[in-house]
Amino acid sequence: MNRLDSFIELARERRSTRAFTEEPVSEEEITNILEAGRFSMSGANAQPWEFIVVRDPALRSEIVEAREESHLVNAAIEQTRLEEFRLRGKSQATSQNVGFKNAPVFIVVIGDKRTHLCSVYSTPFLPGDCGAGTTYLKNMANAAHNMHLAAKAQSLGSMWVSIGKLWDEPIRRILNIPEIYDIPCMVCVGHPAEIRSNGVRRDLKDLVNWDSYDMSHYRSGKDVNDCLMNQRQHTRSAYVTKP
Amino acid sequence: MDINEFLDLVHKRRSIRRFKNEPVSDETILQILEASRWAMSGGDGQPWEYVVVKDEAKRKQILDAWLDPTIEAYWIEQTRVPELRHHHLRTMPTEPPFKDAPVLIVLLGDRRTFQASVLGCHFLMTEGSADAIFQKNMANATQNIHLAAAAAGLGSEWISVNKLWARSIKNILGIPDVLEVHNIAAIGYPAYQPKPNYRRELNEIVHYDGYDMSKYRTADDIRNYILKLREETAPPYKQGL
Repeated sequence: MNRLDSFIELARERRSTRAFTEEPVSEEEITNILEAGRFSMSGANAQPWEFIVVRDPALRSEIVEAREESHLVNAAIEQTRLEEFRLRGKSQATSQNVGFKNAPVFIVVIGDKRTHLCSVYSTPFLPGDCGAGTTYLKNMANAAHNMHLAAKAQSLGSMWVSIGKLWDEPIRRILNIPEIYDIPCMVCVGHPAEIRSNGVRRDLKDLVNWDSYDMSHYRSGKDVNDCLMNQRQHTRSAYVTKP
Repeated sequence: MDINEFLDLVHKRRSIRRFKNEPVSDETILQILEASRWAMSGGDGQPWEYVVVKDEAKRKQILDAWLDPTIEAYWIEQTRVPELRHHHLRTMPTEPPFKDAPVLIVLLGDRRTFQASVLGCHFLMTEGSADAIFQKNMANATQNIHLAAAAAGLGSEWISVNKLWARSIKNILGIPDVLEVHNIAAIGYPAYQPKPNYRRELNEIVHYDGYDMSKYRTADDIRNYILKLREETAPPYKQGL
């Protein structure tokens, strides 16, 4: 298999893992994941990312427990949507039962916005999708995404866990993270305890336009809703698949 | 792809700013987009769509429309101390660095797909907010394009698009208002062999079981770091131009 096919296979087969075994992840495997994060793309090579590797079970429990308030608020908001549009995992306003809690490694991704000095100075003044905040966020995403691919390349499972407002403060306290950093997400890593069905993505032909936008690809509001509904149905069945 | 192959890919991918006058096959372009399509997104929202621009007249229109917004950026850059100015805006811009690229992939984002994320992200604004998730999803799709291009032996550059340029691009390509122009991936066969990339060492950026204050950077450290980055970036940048 050539390198491109091999990379496509890696991207296609990576799935979010929501149940982990207790088998530990080796130091070398963790270092490989961090190495992939370190070499991600960033605007003007600013490299805003740093990583906190959390393996200590007590600290991991504290982090999971500290999510309770955030979870309940999110779950309550989710109840205002039609049931079929609710995100599973947030669909019931009961106490959390998060799949990532058993992951033996949490890699907390923290970002230093001061590094954005590196980008062209116009980004705060000529906004758009390369605005100052957005370049920073995209850089952080690049680091997280590479780490997920590196986990998959070692047959590990991983889950992208976003850190919302109510969860940010307790994590900062538990891990002594200085105020200057943002905490966009955690990469939870371990050996998967479930077999996930294939992912579902829109067909390539519907996404690709040649030399100008093809209006036959345009989606109405209803088309977007229908697409979301399909994904929800697929994701629900994927959630319950166990080995 | 195993981890050694993946790390090799990640290590060797470099931004390329000069391209050979050699076409890229449609099959390869579609494979690159196939890798992008499988990127991660919150709630599987998949906000991305693509316009592949190979047509020479269309590419020229996009390149021409680059100039005025970049001159705006140039004047803003002149308010910084000279040593901290971005290499790309130290002299008055005349033409885009990526002008030779035979393929421009314009990434479009559809914010309506936000609906896929947990609804709370619209009301609890931080890094987990709706806009942040959208930006990160778009980044995921973009970085996979660049990794796939590198895996195909191609060079590529990630070009951010500010709102002045985005408006022109929308007109040139007939992009509906509901879609946003995020960035452009310029792709082609590299016209030069790039030097290895600079990154901070792993031991400077990794902490175990809590933040290690011995690694904290002061304001001075950050300024010196940016200066160091400028020095590190200058040779490959000049090499590419």
